[in-house]
Amino acid sequence: MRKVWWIAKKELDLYFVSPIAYIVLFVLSLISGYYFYIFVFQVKDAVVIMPYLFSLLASIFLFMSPFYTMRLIAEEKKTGTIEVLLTSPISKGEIVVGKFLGSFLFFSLLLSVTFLYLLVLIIWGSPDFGVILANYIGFFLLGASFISLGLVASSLTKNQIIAAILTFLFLLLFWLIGWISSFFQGGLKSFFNYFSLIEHFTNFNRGIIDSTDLIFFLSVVTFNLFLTSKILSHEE
Amino acid sequence: MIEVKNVTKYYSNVKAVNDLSFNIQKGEIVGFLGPNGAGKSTTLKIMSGLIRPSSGSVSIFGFDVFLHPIEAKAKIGYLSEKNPLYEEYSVEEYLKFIARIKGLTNINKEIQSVADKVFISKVMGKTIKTLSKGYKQRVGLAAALLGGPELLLLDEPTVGLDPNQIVDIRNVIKSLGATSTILLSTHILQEVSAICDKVIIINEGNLIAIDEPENLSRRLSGENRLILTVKNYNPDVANSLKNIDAISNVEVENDQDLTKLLIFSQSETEIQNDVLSILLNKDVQIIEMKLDALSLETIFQKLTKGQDNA
Repeated sequence: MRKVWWIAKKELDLYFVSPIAYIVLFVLSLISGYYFYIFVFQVKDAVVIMPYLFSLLASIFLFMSPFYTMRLIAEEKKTGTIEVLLTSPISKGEIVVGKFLGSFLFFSLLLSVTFLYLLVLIIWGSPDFGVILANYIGFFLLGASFISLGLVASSLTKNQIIAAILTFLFLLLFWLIGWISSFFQGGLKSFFNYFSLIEHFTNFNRGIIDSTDLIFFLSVVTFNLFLTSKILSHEE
Repeated sequence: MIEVKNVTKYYSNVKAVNDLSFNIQKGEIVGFLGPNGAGKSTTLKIMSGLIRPSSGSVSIFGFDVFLHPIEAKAKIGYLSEKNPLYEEYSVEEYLKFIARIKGLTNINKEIQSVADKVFISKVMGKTIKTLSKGYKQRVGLAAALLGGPELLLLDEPTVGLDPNQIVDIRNVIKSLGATSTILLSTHILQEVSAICDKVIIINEGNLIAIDEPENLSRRLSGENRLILTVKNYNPDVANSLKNIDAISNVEVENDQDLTKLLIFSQSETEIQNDVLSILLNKDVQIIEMKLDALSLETIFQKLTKGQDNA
């Protein structure tokens, strides 16, 4: 288990030697800050501002997450450093989980920008902490799913740009599935809906923590991590 | 003991390694020799657990690399040909990371000890990106050495280095032989004569020979050549020489007042003293004398060419 942590730490270290981490952080602060400002002055209701913000952040992260997951494996394949990991006494599962965890910690760091907005709301209004907690839990799960899909894409190629595009396509697919479902009725509708990442996040966004949604996100992450380690094994 | 058993590897339809088997005993320094594309790197990658053979098995001191990868890899230090490193890290950060994923304890002491072995203590704080190729190679070697692996797999460790660096790295490898078993791939023949106890020669994925360097040359030549350059030669000398049992043939080449004698003998017997006393008796003046055993270069060419014809 310690080795997983060391892999995660390495990923986190390497985020901050490239400009991408800072660019992503800057763009996120800019857009979310701007909208927070708009919400505060137009909605003027401390209870709904955070849910509004999170539902906006979901779309922002859909576009941003490929930028911080694309390099996870693709870059190591390109430079050959994946050999360093694969010839060390560490399992592929540990490598994959470590990389996921490193990226998830980076995501959490990005998300911590929102604590500032929360602080402002606490000072000037009376937000609903139950709803906010549900939003954070849901958003962490949504972010983890984005990362796990990005990890799969990154393991399929040596080229970071291709990895980013693939990730974006994967995310878009799981986004549009919810939209596709609106054309159907009954069983087919709920089938498509079940695979929609956003649909499962919507409950959290409304302040509802449902075990179906929890299980869905955790299954997505587990499946993708498993798939990534299988892809690595396949390349032996 | 390290056992490579009937290893075959296909890359799509191309056979890179063909039914390769050999053993390496604990403590040996073995040279892995072959032309470019012979399958050396592939074999080393298979032994390190990086790629799976299409068939066959590899056992590292009792652990099958593919059935017990973690245990086997813990016994191996692998330096790949490309020597990939996390170049954004400083040398110290990099070695720390490697030590940690190898699960070592007492990390600082371990790092200090390998840094001393490969002489990189002075550059520990530098970012790897900024180092010269020679230093990067040493960092790669240091990483492979962390944890004192019982087996070192070194893929072309001196390629791309300048002559001074080559000598340095060779000396390091030689000194490591005291504590580790080493398999070292190269296509530079002097490297093998300089540091190895044993040579494995492969070509086009096939095992061609496995022996000590001296035995290889003896086995191939079957005879030694003593080459003499003399003055005041007279034809009697050749007849007297031919009377020595061990000498199989004498060839004479005249070149103005100097004469070149090529004396062929069975390789096991020393004939120099007998030859000298005959020459001195006949008042022949000796200008130069040398014993010409086949060099590894010649052996290598002979072996790999034989392969092409077959």
